[in-house]
Amino acid sequence: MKAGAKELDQRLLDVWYKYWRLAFIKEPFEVECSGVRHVMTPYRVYDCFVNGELFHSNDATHNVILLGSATLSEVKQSSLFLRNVFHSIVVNLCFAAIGLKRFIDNGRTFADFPISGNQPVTTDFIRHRKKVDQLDDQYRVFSDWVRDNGGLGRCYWGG
Amino acid sequence: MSASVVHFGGVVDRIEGNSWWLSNFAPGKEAPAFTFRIEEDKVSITEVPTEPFESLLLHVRKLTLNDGAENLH
Repeated sequence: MKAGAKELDQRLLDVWYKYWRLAFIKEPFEVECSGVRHVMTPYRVYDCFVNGELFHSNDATHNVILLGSATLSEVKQSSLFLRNVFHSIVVNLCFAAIGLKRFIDNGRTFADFPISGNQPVTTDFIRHRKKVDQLDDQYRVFSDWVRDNGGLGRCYWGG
Repeated sequence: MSASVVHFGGVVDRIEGNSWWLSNFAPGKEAPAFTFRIEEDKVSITEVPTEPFESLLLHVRKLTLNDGAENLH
């Protein structure tokens, strides 16, 4: 391994985390299920589908959010609205990953970075990479709002 | 812990080779919006083919399971 490679990898990993956060945290919204209001973030939707429906955890909260009741007595279709959000999140994560790979392929630098030949969303993620320090503060405000309005602690932005 | 750039690049290559991705999101394609519609009593969303989407999701999980998403907890 070349000298400095470990440090570069660590920086890359830090950037990687920021990408997932960008795609997962924005924007918080509310859904009402069985008369209970839930504050959602894109991450919480992803978590409900991946760790709830797709891996059949039978978690009561996941069931309420996706299917409308805590216990299931019959096969039901999950909320189409949330399913649509889920599809969008997965696609956003793919764009984020592609954006990061473009950055790596360019030698982990924005110098002479080719903008053309990419979807605009991919380029957006690259542009956001340059602003993550400011975005940290912005998203901490999002997270405070989510927490203060009944969102789960696991959706919190800060450490 | 260090990120495996080679592994990451391989997963992204497979994302870009996914059939649904190629037909909708490759450079030069006009990517569909994800639309939720209510018309009279009928609710619909932008159609997503199950098999290629689940394949794509597996790739996304490989990336996020590397402690990335868990950092949000």
